[in-house]
Amino acid sequence: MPDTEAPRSEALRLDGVTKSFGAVTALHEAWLRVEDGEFLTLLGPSGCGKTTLLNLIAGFLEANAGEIFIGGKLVTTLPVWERDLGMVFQSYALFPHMDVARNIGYGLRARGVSKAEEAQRVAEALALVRLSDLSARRPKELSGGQQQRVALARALVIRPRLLLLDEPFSALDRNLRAEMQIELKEIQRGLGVTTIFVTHDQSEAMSMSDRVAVMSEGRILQVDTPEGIYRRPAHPFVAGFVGDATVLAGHLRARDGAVAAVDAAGLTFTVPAAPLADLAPGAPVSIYLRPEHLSATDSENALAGTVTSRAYLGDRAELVVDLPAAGRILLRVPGVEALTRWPVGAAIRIGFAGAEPVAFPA
Amino acid sequence: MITLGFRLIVVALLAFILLPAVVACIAAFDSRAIIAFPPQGFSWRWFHRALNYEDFRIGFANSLFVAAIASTLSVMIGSGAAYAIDRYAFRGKALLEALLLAPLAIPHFTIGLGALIIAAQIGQSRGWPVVILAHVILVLPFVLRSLYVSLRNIDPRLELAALSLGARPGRVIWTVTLPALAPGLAGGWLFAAILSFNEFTASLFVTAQRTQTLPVAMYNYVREYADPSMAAISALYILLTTIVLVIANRFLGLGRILGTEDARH
Repeated sequence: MPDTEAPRSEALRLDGVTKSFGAVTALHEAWLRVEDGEFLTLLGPSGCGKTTLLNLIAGFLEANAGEIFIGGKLVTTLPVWERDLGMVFQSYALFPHMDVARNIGYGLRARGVSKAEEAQRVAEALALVRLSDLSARRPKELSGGQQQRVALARALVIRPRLLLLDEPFSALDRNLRAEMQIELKEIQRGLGVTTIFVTHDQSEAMSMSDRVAVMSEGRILQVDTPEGIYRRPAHPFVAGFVGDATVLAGHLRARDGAVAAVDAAGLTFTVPAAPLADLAPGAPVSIYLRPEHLSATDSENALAGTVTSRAYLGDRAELVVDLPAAGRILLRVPGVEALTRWPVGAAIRIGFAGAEPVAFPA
Repeated sequence: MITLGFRLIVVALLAFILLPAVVACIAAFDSRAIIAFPPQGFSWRWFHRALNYEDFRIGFANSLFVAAIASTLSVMIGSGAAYAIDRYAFRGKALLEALLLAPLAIPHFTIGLGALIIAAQIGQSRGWPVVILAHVILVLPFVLRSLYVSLRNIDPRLELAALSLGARPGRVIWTVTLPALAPGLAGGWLFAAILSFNEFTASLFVTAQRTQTLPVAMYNYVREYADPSMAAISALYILLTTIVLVIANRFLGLGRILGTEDARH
């Protein structure tokens, strides 16, 4: 959020929302506040509760405890059809017996909009998703990407207070997915519609979102900007799930205000102190290192090891290096350098100079 | 690679299945007043006789009437039951399913006899309600299966999408569920109508002179006469059913409804 703007109004708020299915708690006391116009992603592995949370917001499920507010209005017990939401499903869920224009106009007809206004707004929505030529087609005559656009237009044409998207791109192939991500982001920014996006794909979450809520086992672990999630993970699950990480076992040496010193593999790292607040010096910790923060170096202040595998990816290569002092680590190096200098079995020295590690109690 | 032996087996099988119908149809054109094969001399007279015989005309009209009402009722009952079984979890669901499919295990004459006894008890002997009731019971399991398969093939997210777009549940059923189910409803109705139209055993128990359906009229006829008008009626039966099925297949895709094709895209 840019600080220069006036404080924006609240589009969605969850106050301790809990949902159980029998003995299983699918969502445990979710607290969340989403600002007007924000693009927020619920990110987590399957079974983490993100789809349950989306279904609770949509009204397809009823919460066992807690309250949901949309635009400041309490909607916890409001039926789906009165919540004014636009929803896009993974399977698109286009009505097979209606053509594209009738599909898009469905929500307008349900609201009793006049025929003339329906026609005009459907035409605008079709133009928005660049499908004006296909308004008379049936859904089964469209490609996956086109169906996705129709579903998006159908959800947006009603000018919803929230746009909800449930893994909308997972059925698309990789190139089309990247294209649709950019297009959705442009449309969303252009309309300023508050968007809740569900995905298990962390790169999708990172590239599209204003903020990301990382979920695991029915809990929201951290809500932050993509940069905050990546660089300042608040929970070991977040550090491990978002981006690649090498984990070193170490010990807490000392805390000093906001930072702490931890020892591992004969080196000392400076880490944020907050996650280690409860620990006494000497307590075991796990240190999370990002591959791009490590480097192959000739300096003395580095750990010696052996390259055990090499994956060449063109511009870069990923090396797995076995360090006797620290275990196996993942390292990214330029592709050309990997080819010329680091075949499997090569001796290598790893420096940690640029690292910004985080540590959690082991 | 389809070998000659395989082709011969298929031809033999088809001949075996179609033989009785073919023999009956050919016998219908015999010019003599007995049912015999092969026929001697060609004649349309038994078709004229079949089409003009009063009991057949009444029986045909009765059969159409019963089939139309019984299949409509069974589609209404069956769609409600199929919807409940597909969408809701409730106590006694397995029992309801078993009950609705039970007539498959009960002989037709038992259903006819039972309906007759009940009707006699409530002083409704052999009227239309009894005939129609017996037919509804008989065709319901088939209708239920057909509708259940159609319902299972509808993505429940279609209804969720409609609800999220602001449509109330009644509107969703009317504008999304029913149209998506229409081929299944039409197919189930047609299936029921054909079964009802052909039903004989139970009808023999529950029909009276006034309410007798075409198969019962044919049975009564054959007890007195042995001319080829029976064969002519058979040929007409086959012709009519085939026309209906061909038209239905053109518009509905029967393979999908009767479950011989995978309906999921």
